[in-house]
Amino acid sequence: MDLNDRSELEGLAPTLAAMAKVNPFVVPEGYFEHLSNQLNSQIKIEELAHSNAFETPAGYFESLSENINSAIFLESLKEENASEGFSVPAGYFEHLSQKINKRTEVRKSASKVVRLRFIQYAAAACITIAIGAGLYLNNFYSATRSAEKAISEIPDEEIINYLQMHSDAADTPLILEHLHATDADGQSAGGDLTEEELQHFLDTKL
Amino acid sequence: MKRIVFILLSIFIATSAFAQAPRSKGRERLEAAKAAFINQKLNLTSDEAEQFWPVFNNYQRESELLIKQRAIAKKSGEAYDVELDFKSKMLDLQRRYSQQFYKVLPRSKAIQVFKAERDFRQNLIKELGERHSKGMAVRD
Repeated sequence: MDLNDRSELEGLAPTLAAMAKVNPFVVPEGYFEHLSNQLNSQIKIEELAHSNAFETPAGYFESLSENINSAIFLESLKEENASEGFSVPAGYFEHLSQKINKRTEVRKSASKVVRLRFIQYAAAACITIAIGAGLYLNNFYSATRSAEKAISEIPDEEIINYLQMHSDAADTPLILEHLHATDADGQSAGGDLTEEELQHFLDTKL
Repeated sequence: MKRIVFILLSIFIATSAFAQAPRSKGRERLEAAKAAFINQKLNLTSDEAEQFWPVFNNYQRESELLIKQRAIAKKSGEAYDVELDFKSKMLDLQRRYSQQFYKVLPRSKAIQVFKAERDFRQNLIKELGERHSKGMAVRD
């Protein structure tokens, strides 16, 4: 068919024949420039839609309400106290370590001194108690130990002295019995109480 | 260290001063034995002993004084008169102190005080006799 035969065309399809011979298709502006980008992102989105790309930290939902509550509380606190609410004395943190060191040092030395003194006094007290108890017990013991043993330790001389001074007539029979008997047997009286002394001793008694 | 030495030193000084009794060691032993004997004889409780010993020590002091006076008097006076005088004074002393013993001791014990003293003397006599018969002597 001859395209140039316009009259024939006009006869067959007048509308078509009336149209201008131009490209009737239009694409949005920059369509092809962004096409690959768009395609790529569309593919990415599709992929993501099928896999679970979103993860929450462990225990997120469990602590969520708490976190929210504390956040709200913090907010309300901030509303109540426009300032921070906490204040430190000037230079507090600058001198803090120094202060702590000072205190701990003082305490250490103080406790050391106290302890040493305590041990010294305890030792002194122990010695004093031991010696005191020794003296006391010695006295006490010497006074209360069996009287016989105590008597057996008195020197002869002292017994004779005492008897000469303290004995009376009531003791005479016993003196004769015990102190004269040895002489009567002809044995030595040990030289402590001679016949003469005994006689003198007895003479002075009524 | 210095302090401990000082404390020890002061204790030693104190004890040595304490040990320096004016009486002889033999006399001390005799008195300790006498005290032990009387304590045992009267079977004193600690409360009784606390009350009794000061009184008894006073009695001993006074009786020692009488004995000393007798010894002095005998050098000049007639022995018989001196002895009679001594006995009467001693009796007065004992009568006076027996009243005091009644105050500090139960009656059953108070009446035994002078007896205990006499028993002590008799024990001394027996002890001395025993030593003589065995031919041994105890020296200071």
